[in-house]
Amino acid sequence: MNLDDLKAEWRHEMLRTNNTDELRFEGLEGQVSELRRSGRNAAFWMIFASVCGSALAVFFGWLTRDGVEWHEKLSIVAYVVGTVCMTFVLLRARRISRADDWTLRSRLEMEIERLEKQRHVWNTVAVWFFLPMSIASLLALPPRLYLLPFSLYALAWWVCRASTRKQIDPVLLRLRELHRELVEIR
Amino acid sequence: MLPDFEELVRQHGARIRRIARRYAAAGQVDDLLQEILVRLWRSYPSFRGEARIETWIYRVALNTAMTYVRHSIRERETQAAIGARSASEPTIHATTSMGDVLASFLAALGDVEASMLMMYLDGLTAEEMSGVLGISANAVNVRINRLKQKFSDMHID
Repeated sequence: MNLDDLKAEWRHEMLRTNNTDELRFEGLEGQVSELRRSGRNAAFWMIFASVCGSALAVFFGWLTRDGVEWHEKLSIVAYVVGTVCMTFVLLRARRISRADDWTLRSRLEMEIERLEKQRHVWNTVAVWFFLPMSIASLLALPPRLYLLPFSLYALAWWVCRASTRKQIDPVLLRLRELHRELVEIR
Repeated sequence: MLPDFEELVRQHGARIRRIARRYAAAGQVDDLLQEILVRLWRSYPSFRGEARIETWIYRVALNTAMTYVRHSIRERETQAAIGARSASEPTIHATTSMGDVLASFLAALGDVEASMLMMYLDGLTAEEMSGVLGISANAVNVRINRLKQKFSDMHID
């Protein structure tokens, strides 16, 4: 028996099991728009929340108050810097350098690049987000309340590291294996 | 909805389902199937009939499956581990029909090799497969020869 003997069985199977009842054609248009939207949502809401927070801090903490202390101003500046850094990092992480030529190889490479960027974002979250936010908290809060934001940041940092290890790393490993399987001839 | 699209996809439903079954975790096949359908519909206006319809379907379906595989990877690995355990248990009935041979050979292959096998059985040329996979036609030929060898080793008369 050789591989070409399977061709007839394959053709037969394609005809025999061509039951397309499960294909749902209704509402395809709506699903397409949802697919486009879903990718944008997570980053959008994070940026939106931080920008609103910054705007509120600047307006109510600085512009509408008299006699704002220097450390309060510095705290608001640090908060705005944190927001700008976050926006920049999240938007840059979404940009993929490869063009999609609709081959399996390019799709794999795009997915690998996207995940590597995501991994980098979460691994460096302490530098681009928690550091400016910690400075802002240090300057704005009285010392007795320091523990609260810092434990919150530490917890968020730990969650980021854990989700990198548990969610991103195994998928990245599998995608790299698939890429090797496709590209390398051993 | 483009009227001939529905008819066209109906003709190739089994092919699309095969790919979805290969790449989705059990219980998620319908979701991947639907996602492939959505992407086929999205790219249908740009399909000008220069390539064979099967080539276009493989191109879009494998592309979608790769995006989807990110979400289903852990479930698939768990299922593969369970599958490997049960495969190591002795079976009472030998697989004899061609359908069984095809299914068992497909199951024994990695994702990339399985995709190649499906395209080969569908009669795509090395150049067409190269356009779908993004590797050279020469590399495709090498892989196909290896698949033939592997099949012969598994099914010596």
